[in-house]
Amino acid sequence: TKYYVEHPDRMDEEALLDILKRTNSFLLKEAESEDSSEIDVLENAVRSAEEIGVKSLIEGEVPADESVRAVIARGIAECASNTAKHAGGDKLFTRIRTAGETYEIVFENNGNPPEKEVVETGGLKSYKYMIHQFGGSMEISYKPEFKLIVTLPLSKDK
Amino acid sequence: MYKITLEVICLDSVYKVMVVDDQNIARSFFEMHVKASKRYELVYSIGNTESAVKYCDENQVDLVLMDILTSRGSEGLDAARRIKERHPGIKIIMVTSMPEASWIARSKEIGAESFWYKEYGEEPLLEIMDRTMAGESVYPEDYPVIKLGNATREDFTDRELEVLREMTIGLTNSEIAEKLCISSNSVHSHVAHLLAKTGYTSRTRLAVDARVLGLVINPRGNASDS
Repeated sequence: TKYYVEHPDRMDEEALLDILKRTNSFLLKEAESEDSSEIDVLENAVRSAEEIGVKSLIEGEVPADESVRAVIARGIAECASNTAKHAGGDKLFTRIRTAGETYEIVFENNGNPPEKEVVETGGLKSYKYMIHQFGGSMEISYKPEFKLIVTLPLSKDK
Repeated sequence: MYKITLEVICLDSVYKVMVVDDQNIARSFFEMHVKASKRYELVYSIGNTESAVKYCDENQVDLVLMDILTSRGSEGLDAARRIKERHPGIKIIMVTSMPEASWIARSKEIGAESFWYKEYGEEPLLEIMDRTMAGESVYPEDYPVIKLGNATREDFTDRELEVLREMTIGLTNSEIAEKLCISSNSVHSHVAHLLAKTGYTSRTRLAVDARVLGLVINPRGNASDS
């Protein structure tokens, strides 16, 4: 259908109607899935990054705390997407270290650096909200290259 | 951008959240947000709305993130309606990536507390969740601006959108007339208005683009199902 939209002169309307019906059905059809609440979000994020062509490399000790892993996972998802879409890179580096009572997580990629200051909208804005709610902080630098630095408290009481 | 209706409640608990979305990537996105927050506990994450409704019958759930468009159409709306009927205390945030014209109104009719556009929402999801659990009802004030040819959603009447919705599953004018209980002449007239407003010369192309853009989505996948 997208092809028809872009090349309307090349398609037959009857054939297109048939494609539309099948496409509509295909788009709505999805295999049923089991409860995925126990699946590790960090592993999922790494896998999802690879699916969009970004290899995610994690350095340092990965925290066992599920909530911290989830915050890191969100960072990987956001930065992998930006690496592919904006930086033209194919590697995302996630460096984790502890510093006193905090985790420091630095996200960098092997793509092109931003040409101008990065504005926190959409996904980055959402990620910042998540980090602040967690009790952490987020900082972005774009010169000489893009770097997203996240600081999280070591403990998270639930 | 988002209109707020305030209630009073301020709670200091960990809320049990259920995620319902039949796309694994989207569900993973929601799971990440819930697991990353001190205020929420992910108790169930499923793609099947029937299982979701059943889970609410048998377990404690405080908040549901419910995707509207599922494998068999807009089942999320029906599932939300049933949950609200059986468990009015459960709060529901309807989520979607489609700007389909009727879903906000239907979500309000069902009693869903809040609504969030995956693609267009300016506010962070966690903020919508926090405000919902604090007693607010958070709905977008504006629809995403979707341009269909020379027109946007605001240029169409409700009836024109209804006719367009049926066109996207390949119904003929007489089939649309029968389904909407109007005359074939009326359908013909609405189609003519749609073409004139959008600048399209082909009804098929109009229907394809309307569906691809998500402006209208038929709740049923195939014409044969209706």
